[in-house]
Parts: sequence; structure tokens; C-alpha cells
Amino acid sequence: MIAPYIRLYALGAIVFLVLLVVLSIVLAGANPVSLVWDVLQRALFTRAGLIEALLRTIPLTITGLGIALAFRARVFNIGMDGQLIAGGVAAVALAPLLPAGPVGLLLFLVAGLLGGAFWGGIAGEIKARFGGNEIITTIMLNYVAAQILSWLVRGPMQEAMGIIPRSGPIDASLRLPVLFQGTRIHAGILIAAVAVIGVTVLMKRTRFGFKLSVVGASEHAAQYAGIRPGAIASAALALSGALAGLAGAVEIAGPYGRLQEGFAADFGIGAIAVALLARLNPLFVPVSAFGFSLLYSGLGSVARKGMVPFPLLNIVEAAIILIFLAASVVAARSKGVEADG
Amino acid sequence: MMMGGTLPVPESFVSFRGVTKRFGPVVANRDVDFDVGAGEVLALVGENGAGKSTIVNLLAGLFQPDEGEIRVDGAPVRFDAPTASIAAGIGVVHQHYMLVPTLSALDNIALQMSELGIGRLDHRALAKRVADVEQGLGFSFDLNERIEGLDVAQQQRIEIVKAMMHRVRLLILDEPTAVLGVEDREKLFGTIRRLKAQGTSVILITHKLEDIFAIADRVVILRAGAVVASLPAVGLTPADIVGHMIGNNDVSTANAIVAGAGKAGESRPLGQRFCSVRNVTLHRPNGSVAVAGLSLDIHAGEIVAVAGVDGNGQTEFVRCLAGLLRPTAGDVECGGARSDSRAWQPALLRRLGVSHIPEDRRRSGIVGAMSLASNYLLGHMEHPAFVRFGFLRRAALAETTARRMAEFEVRARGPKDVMQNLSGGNQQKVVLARELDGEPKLILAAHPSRGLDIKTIRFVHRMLDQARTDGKAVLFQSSDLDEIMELADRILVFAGGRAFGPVNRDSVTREQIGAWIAGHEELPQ
Amino acid sequence: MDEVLFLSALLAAGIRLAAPIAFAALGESLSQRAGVINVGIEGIMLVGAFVSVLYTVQSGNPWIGLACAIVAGMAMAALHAYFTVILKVEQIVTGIAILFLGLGLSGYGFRLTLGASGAAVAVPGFDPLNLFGLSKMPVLGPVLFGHHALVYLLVVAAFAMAWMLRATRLGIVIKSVGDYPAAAAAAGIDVDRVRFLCVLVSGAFSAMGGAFLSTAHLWGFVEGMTAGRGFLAIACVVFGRWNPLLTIVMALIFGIADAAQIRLQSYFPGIPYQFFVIAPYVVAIVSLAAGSRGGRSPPMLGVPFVRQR
Repeated sequence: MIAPYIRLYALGAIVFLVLLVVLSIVLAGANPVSLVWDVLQRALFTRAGLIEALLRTIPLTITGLGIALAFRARVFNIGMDGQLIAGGVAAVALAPLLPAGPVGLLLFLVAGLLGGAFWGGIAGEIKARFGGNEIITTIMLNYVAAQILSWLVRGPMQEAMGIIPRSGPIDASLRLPVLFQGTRIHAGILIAAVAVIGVTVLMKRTRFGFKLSVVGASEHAAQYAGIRPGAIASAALALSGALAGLAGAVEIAGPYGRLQEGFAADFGIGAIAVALLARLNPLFVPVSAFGFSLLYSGLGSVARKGMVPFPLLNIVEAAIILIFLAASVVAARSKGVEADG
Repeated sequence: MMMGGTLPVPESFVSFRGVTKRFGPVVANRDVDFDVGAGEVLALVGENGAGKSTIVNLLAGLFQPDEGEIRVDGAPVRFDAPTASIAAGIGVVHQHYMLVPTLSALDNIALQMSELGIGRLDHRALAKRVADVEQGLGFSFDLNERIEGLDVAQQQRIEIVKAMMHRVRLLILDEPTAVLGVEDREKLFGTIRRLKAQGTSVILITHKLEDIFAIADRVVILRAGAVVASLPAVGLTPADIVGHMIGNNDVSTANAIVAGAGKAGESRPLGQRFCSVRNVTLHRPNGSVAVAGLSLDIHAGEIVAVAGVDGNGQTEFVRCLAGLLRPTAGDVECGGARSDSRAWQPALLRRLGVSHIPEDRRRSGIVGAMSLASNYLLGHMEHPAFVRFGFLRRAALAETTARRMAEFEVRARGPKDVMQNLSGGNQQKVVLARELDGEPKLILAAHPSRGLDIKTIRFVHRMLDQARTDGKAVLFQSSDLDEIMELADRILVFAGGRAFGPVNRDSVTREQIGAWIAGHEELPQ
Repeated sequence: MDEVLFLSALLAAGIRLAAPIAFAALGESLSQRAGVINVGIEGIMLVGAFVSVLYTVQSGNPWIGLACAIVAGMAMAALHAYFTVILKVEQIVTGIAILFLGLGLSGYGFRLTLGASGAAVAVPGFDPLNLFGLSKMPVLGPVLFGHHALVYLLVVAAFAMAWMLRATRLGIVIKSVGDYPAAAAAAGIDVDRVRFLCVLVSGAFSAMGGAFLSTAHLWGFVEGMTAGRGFLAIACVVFGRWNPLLTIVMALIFGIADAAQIRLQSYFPGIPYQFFVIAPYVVAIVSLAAGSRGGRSPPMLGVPFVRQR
């Protein structure tokens, strides 16, 4: 039975976390209430803020979907940043060979998918075959990917001028068209929408999605039912890696147009908070992604004005995750325990 | 209700007066009275579910009586925690040992002795103290070996020594002989005699007749949570005890215990063979041998009961047939697949038509957080009615689940209701529906009626019977003699690490099976 | 002789580079032994790194900075323990939150204080010791006698922890809590309390690792300066089979790999330096693949203990 006082402890934790955020803001010399208003106002009610938030929502949704899928099976893929890079690299590497126009663009995105799937699949194989903990392998692979990118943009893939560490631009026909004149919002938003639908269907309507849920809920029951947890984990890593790779390709085909260090940074690790807030439900991921993007955009603007340092974002993300964990304890149904005679 | 004469008990050390304990709707102990004298060996006897373990846990301080009182030296006491019970001089050796498998015996004993503090452990001094206790009990074992490398008899001795490290006036042994062979059993009885000579009282919880006659001074018999008899062991016959335990007061029926091997029995037309087991040896996870030299065939249209007290290899056998365990020697062949191939996995066996109703329903049989429909799907993920081109056909699944729920009278709000909201009995019904559907060829059921009410048990039996009529093979594991005798065509008896049979149900009596299971008689070769 | 000098310098540098990882790994091995995993020790290390610099600058004494870092680390660990041991929620997710929190608090705090001016701040950090005056001795000198005080502290701590686990009843208690808490509870032990305390100790050690990085190895704080060492530490715990001494040996292997890759870069100018930088990470991945079989993690790692009633 969930002891009644544990609910109280959980409530206490929520209060503590809110106070922590408030105290942090106060320490910076800002007023918490007016800060929240400022953030919201800059993110939602300014053109620049809103556009930036929408632009960030696109890759964050796609990576958030990947996390939702993996975490559903209790496969903790912390390596989506590296998988995103792998996807971007694969796509840009293949770009010169691709035909112009929509077909080429499609293949560009597919290359991103495959690159990310490959990078995720490495961790997947290590887990399935050797039982290697995916948290460590995916994070290690993050650093490896970052270094490989660093080398590529200074070496084999560097642009012709050879001064700035970045690749040459991809062909203009491979770029995602801007949807709304005057904004930078590109067709990636449609891809994100398709991804939401695709992942939702996969997770809720297919046998594979069912197996994912079972493995995440009870590895024992899964085994007894004939599901192989190792194979499911490996597939989850490859699929979420693919989504990360897709996000990478979308970012290059969209805003960036080329490969460079630090492109699309933190969409991998940021997706974790997004997915957790969405309670791993793919339909809520875009909403959660938009919320976090607003926070990022508004807070970024506020930080540039010198009101509060930007890393407050991470503090808020942490608080949100922990508050959600505590809230689930408060809301948990008491489970009766069967008597042993 | 007292039957027969009662000897005046000298000074009783521990007594129960009118103790009642309930767990929800289940009355585990009903108005229980008994006494244990100093230096007395009391056997507490009854079939599974009679309420013996509850009495142990009450004495151990794990919970408190709802009504009545426990007395120590005549004065009422309340054991609010295990420490209180220990302080009163009560030591318990539970049926499931509380030993950390990765630590040594000495470490496990040290763990329990909080008076040693948290600092440097004087291994040698402790070993000496343990050795003194060991000697008093007539044991000796390697204190430095890890528990997981020791067999159950040795582990039990360590548990006894552990209990005796504190001043113990009453030692409770819960089903101590369940997993012991003949020799180890004798050694245990020798230990109990020594304790008795030292003035320590012993309560022996058992359902084996042989234990009583070997060692007990008095017998208290429980049935359905109440004391039905409290008698001195002197002058009792096995028939008396069995009669009280099973509630059959007809002594002549109880006297019909067949001495010697059961007849091979008339042959019965058997359906097509589905599984063949040849000379199989199975190991437990801790490395000890669960059962060796097991051979039998399982045919369509028959029910084979796997009878015996838990711990004699039945669990491993059922898990092996389900694809969760490979034999270390010998060969199993089911539906064309062989156990020596790497493909011997639950997925393969399910595809070949083997259903499995697992023993530990909560851990392995269901996913508590998911819906009834999802739990039903767990057994039919390859079925075209529910999955097409990899997509779930949720309407069909919901409809089938709802229909089966109605037929099985499962009390729930609908196929979308969450599994953990259901009672244990209703959960089992869902598992049953799942495993019986889909035209399985072999249904493995581990303790299918455990923890269920009478009506549900009857239902389960009807379903298994129907499965047999429909031409399926059923193998069910049980320690309930009534159930076995009612359902089985053939019975495979596990006792003392060996298996005998299968014998035809018609050629043995309930008492004979009971005697084999209880170790009162050795299994024939 | 050249090779010997090279190796000696390599080993000395390896020890220096290994120390932060080793601190964190040592603490985490204790926590995991008791059954609680913290994937966010990277965050605690960052907080330790920042707090130690802040208070070292303020007080002028690196030991005070260290003490404050330890307090901060324990506070973060207490939050982790509160959620995982008392509220009994998912340990991995909580660890991720701790990671974010550490990233946030260290960056935030830095920008509000030392980083606000944008100018470099003088940090009176730890100087390496000169034990017995022998640190200049050829070959053995730098390796054995020329390290920071914290390194020697680390070695002592590792031996102390190994001894504690092997020879004291506390060690038995901790091991039982991680391996089979039901038996520990039956023996009258407060499983949650033991776990909570072990997590606190782990936080202290992680913070020390961060403090070493910012006040001994380097003198200063840079955001994100731990660069994955917290995760390498977890890898060390797994490879070290939850044994304190083996764990710091694993950290040393990573440290040497790191030191080697820096040196090897100049030996092989043709090969892009990035390939050397990834060496420790690749070592980690390969070892994880090779070493995960057979090793047995504490059986109840990650599982909250709920008393059966």
C-alpha cells in the first residue's frame, strides 16, 4: 500500500522545487512574477520570439517522439544528440549524389533517417548482444559523433574556401521551402506533423508498439509472452536514432543549409524533458515541444537583455521533470496487497 | 473444538487464546487456541491454506491478531515488530530463507546481530560464538562459503544457527522438511531432540505425517483456519491425523493407505503424443539439482497432474516445457522442437501451441498497468484475428475480450479496465481465458487454483476438463489432493528430488498420493 | 631511457586526468552497491566544480572551496535520494533531472558571479605536493610523489572503502541492502536509511571530483567543463564490478588513455586530432561490450524497496 504520508512528502517536494526556481530568480535580482510574464510575452507576443519558438519546435518534436518511443520500452537513449549529428552527416555526405527537386529532398531526409538509425543501432547491438548499458554507450557515442563532425568540417567535408569549419552548402533544390512568406518557418513543420502521426500510429496501433509497452512495463511478462526484450530494445534504439537523424537532416535542409559544428545543439538532451512532460504520449509531444521552445525563446530573449542568466532553462527543465515525478506519486492509486496465508 | 483427550500441559511458555486474523475477506486464523510448553515439541499440522503460516507470522511479530491475545509465560504480549518477538525469546526459521545469497554464512549471521555495531567485525570472535552454537546443535559448516553455493539443507542449518544466536526459548520451524532428503531430515530431527534436551520449545509447522511421528510430543491440527484437534502424539495413528486434516472422520477410509507401490493400472486409450521427456535433469538458478532422470510422454486429450510439495522440481519442469529453461541432461521434444536447440524459447513454444499459466501471476503472467484487452493480447500477438499486417485490430480484440470476460464472469468494468484493479481471482480468470483460447495443443498450468475462491476454482476445473474433451493436452501443477484426484487422468508425483509416474488416477487412492507427497512413503522406482 | 621517461610522464598525467573520474566513480560504486543508480553525477560534478571555485576565490583557501563543494554535492544527492529512496520513483529519470539541475545551477551561478564580468578570475587553487621532497626524482618522482593532496586522499579513500566493505559490519549491511533487501529488512535494518546515506556519500565524492577538476588540475571554471566525465565514471563502476579498488583502476585506464591521446597527437601529425580525442570514449564503449557479460550488478540495483505488509 502506498503509505499516506508518502503523498505528503511528494507534495513537499513539489513545493520545494517551486521555491528553488523562485529563489534562483530572486538571487539574480529579478522579480519572479514579472520574469514569467516577460518570458511569455517575448515568446508568444513578439514576432521574432514566436518564430524562433516555432522553428525550434520542429526538431524538438521529432526528437521528442524518438525519446517517447524509446523510454516507453524503458530504453534510455541519451544519445540523440550524437544520432542527430550522424543523420546530418549522412545526409550532407550523400547530398552531391542526389537528384535535384523533391525526390532528392526526400532521399536527403531518408539518408538522415538511416544515418541516425545506424548510430543508434550501434548502441542497440551492444545492448542486445552483450547486455551493455545503453545509457553509457549512447552518451559515449555522443562525444564520438561530435568529434567526428569536428574533423569532417575541418577536413574532408570542409567548404571550398577552407577557412571556416563548416561544409559547403547543399544544393538549393534540396532545401525545405519556406511556407509562410517573410518568416523562416519551413516545410519541416509538415515533416514533424507526419512524424507525430507515424509514431502515434506505431506506438498505439501496431503490434510492435504493443511489444514496446510490454517490455517497458514488465520484462518478465514480456519474456513469458514470447517477446524478446533484447531485440525490442535494439529496435527501439535504432528507431529513435532514426528520428534523431531525421531531425538533423531537417535542420540542415531547413534553417542551416550546411553542416557545421554545434548545429542543432541540445535537441537530443532537450527532448528528454519534452517527452517526459508529455508523459511519453506521442500526441502530446508537439505541445510539450512547443511549450519548451517558448521557454527557450522567451528566456533566451530575457537573458540577452541581461535580466537573468540563460542556464535558468536547465534549472526549470529539471524542476519540471521532478515535479512530474512527484505529481505521479501524489496521484497514484493505492494498490492493495494480497494477503499471504 | 477439542477431540480426544488432552494432557495437562505443564507450564506453557507461549499460548494463543481466541486468536483471529483476517486479510480482507479471508479469515486466515479463526479463534485459535493452543499452548506450547517448555521443552516441548509441538507439531502444527494442516493442509495448504489451513492457516499455519499465519500463526508463524503472528509469533514472529510481522503482524498482530485482529482478535484474541498471545501470551508469554501467562502474560499477554503484543509483538509490534520482529524485534519484540526476538526479545521475548522466539526464533523463527521461515519457509523461504532470509539469507543474502551473495554473502557468506558468517556475514548473514552478522547482519542480524545489530549489537555488533557497524565497525570492524571481529570475524574470528564471531566465528567462535557461532561454532559454540553450532556445536550445541550438532552442526558444522563452512562459514565463509557464499550462501548461493550451498544446498537448501545447509542453508536451513544456517538459518537455525542464525535464529539461535539470540537467546531462544521457542524455535519455530516452518515446513522445514519440505525440501530435505531423508538423511538431512534425520539430522534435523536429531537437532530438534538436542534443543528439547536443552529445554527449548519447538513448534514444527508441517503437513507431513512422518515428521509428527518422528519427533513431536503433541499435535495441533488446523483445518480452514481453526483448530480441530489438539492431541498428544503418543497413541495417534496416521489415519487419525489424516482424518482430521482432510475432514473425513471415517477411520476405515483413512485406513485404506496402500502400503507398497501403486499398481501400474489399466491402460487408457491415449491421444497423439505431443511432448516426450527423456531422462531430463533440471537445475535451479542457484545451481542445485531440482530433479533428475525425469521421463514421460504427454498426449492430446489427457490431463497430467504434477503433484507434490513445492520445491521438488515441479516449477523447473513446467518452466522447461514453457521454453524458459533448458535441461542440463536429457532431452525434451514438444511439437517437433527439441530442447537442445538454441531456439528453445517461449516464443517458439507458443507458436507450436504451448500455453502457459504461470505460477507467479503478478510478476510473469500479467502486466498490471495495462488493460484487460492488452493482457489478453499478450497470448495472441500472432493471431490474424487481432493483428493484420502488423496492425492491431482493436475492435476485434475488445469484442473478444468482452465476450470472454462475460463467459468467464470476470468482474471488471470492461475490456479497457486496468488489470491491477481486478481481484486475484478475476485476474486469474483473464489469464485462463487468454491461455485457453487460440487452440493451444498443450496447456501448462502452474497452481491454477491458488488463492481463488471455491466458485472460481470450480470454474477453472470445468475449463480444464473442457480443454481435455476438446482434445488438448493439459499439464497442471498442484499441491491440492482434491483437485488432483478430481481432474487428473495421470499423476506424476514429485517428492524428495525425484519424480515417479505418471500413474493412472484410477489405480491410486488419495491417501496414497498424500503419503508419497508427505514423504511418509518412499516413491517407488 | 627516453621511453621510460615518456611512460613516467604519461602515468603521472594519467593519474591527474583520472582523478576527477575516479572520485565520482568511487562514490557511485558505493551508491550502486546499496542499490541506487545516479546517472546525473555529471551534474553534481559540475556543481562541485563551480562551488569550489567560487568559495576558493572568496576565501582564498582551496580547502574551504572543497568543503563547500562537498556540502553542495551532498545537497544535490539528497534531492536524488529523496526522490528515489523516499518517494521511490524511477531512478534513471530522476538522475536525468539531476543532470539538468547540475548543468543549470552551475552555469547559472557562474554567470551570476565569477563569469559576470567576463574577465578571467584568479583562482588560488591547489598546488601539487612535493611529498618527502622526492617529486623531482627521475621516473618515480612525478608518478608517486608529485600529485595534489586530493589524489592521495582519493587513494586512501578507496582503500578505506574497500576495507569497510570487506571487514566491517557496515559493509555487510550495505551489501545486503543492495543484494537482497528483504533479508536486510528481516534482520531489522532500515533499508531506506542505509540507501539514503550511501547516496549522500556518493554526492560528496562526485562534488570532490568536480572540485579537483576546477581547483587542482585546472584553476578555473568553464561551463560544461566535465565533458562527460560523470558518465565515464558510471562506466568505471560497471567495469570495476562495483569494487572500489578496481573502479579507480578503471578510471586510471581512462586517464592514461586521455593522457596518451594528447601526446600521441604530436607523434602522428598526419592523423586528425579528433581521432585521438575519441580514444577514451571508444575504450569505454568497447569495454562495455566486452565486460557486460558475466559481471553481476547488485541484484536490486534500480529497484525501490517496498516493504511487504
